[in-house]
Amino acid sequence: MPRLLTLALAIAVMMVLPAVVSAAPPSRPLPLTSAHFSELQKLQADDEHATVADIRASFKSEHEQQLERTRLADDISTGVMLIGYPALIVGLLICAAPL
Amino acid sequence: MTTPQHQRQPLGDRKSGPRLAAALAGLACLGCMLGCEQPRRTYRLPPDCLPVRYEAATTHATCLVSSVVMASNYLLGDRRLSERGVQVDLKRLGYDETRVGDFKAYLRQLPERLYLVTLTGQLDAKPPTGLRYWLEQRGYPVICVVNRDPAADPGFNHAVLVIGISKNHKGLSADIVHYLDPSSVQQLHSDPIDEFETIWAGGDHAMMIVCQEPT
Repeated sequence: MPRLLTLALAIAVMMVLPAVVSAAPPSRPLPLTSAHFSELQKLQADDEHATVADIRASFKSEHEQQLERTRLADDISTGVMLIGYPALIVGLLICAAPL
Repeated sequence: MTTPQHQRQPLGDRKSGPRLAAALAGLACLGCMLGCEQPRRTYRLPPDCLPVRYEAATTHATCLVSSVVMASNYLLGDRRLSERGVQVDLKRLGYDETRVGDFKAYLRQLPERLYLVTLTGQLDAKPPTGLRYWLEQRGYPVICVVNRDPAADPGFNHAVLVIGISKNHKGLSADIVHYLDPSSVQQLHSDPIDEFETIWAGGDHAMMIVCQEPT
């Protein structure tokens, strides 16, 4: 009888131990109950959580970031060129006018 | 006069040769097409992580689309949604593919009764806003908005799908957060929990869970 009890105890420990050591997640998502779902809906409406709905995720990687910097630098240099050349010509003409 | 050995083949065999070749070629083409269509997992799933099927983002702005698609398909247990299909749907309905609120509205229109729970979360297991609670106790992958920009410019907000948190057996450091990045060549990223916390804080700790409305 004590042997049987020991064996049963050993089997019980062997079955419970893996679950204790590694708390693996459920194999499938557990469905929400109606009460849980309505609780979540209420919680989302709080100011702290409501702002999440307005968040945008439009990822730009390091590469995109670099391209944007290059584009900005190009825009500035193009602007300077566009303004600079006519300004230089006008300046030269003004300077040359007394001659 | 006798015919050579190679000319004595029955008529049926001569016809079946090209047919067999055509069938094999057809199968090869089908295999290639399916192979291109199905996203392949290029990583080994760490222990205690949810086996979510990867869905790549085709442009840098569709990281949220891919993350929602991955979470939805995992919940439904089948690849019912695709990044391209959802992107087309969103454009047709006039929704912004980068805005969280627009996804909430979009998912409610689907016949699968999907619902996007949007919360400001934390890393612990405290219900219902704990990341660990959803992953380990409920079995849901969690979409998190992260930001790697030092100035946390919202333009660099990025959606990733967290699939598990595991113990770091290699060193003395803290646990490791595993997440699928839809915009990265390296599909699975594993960051120490403190590093993940920093980039998640840049995204205002925004987290989303795709669930099904109870009947």
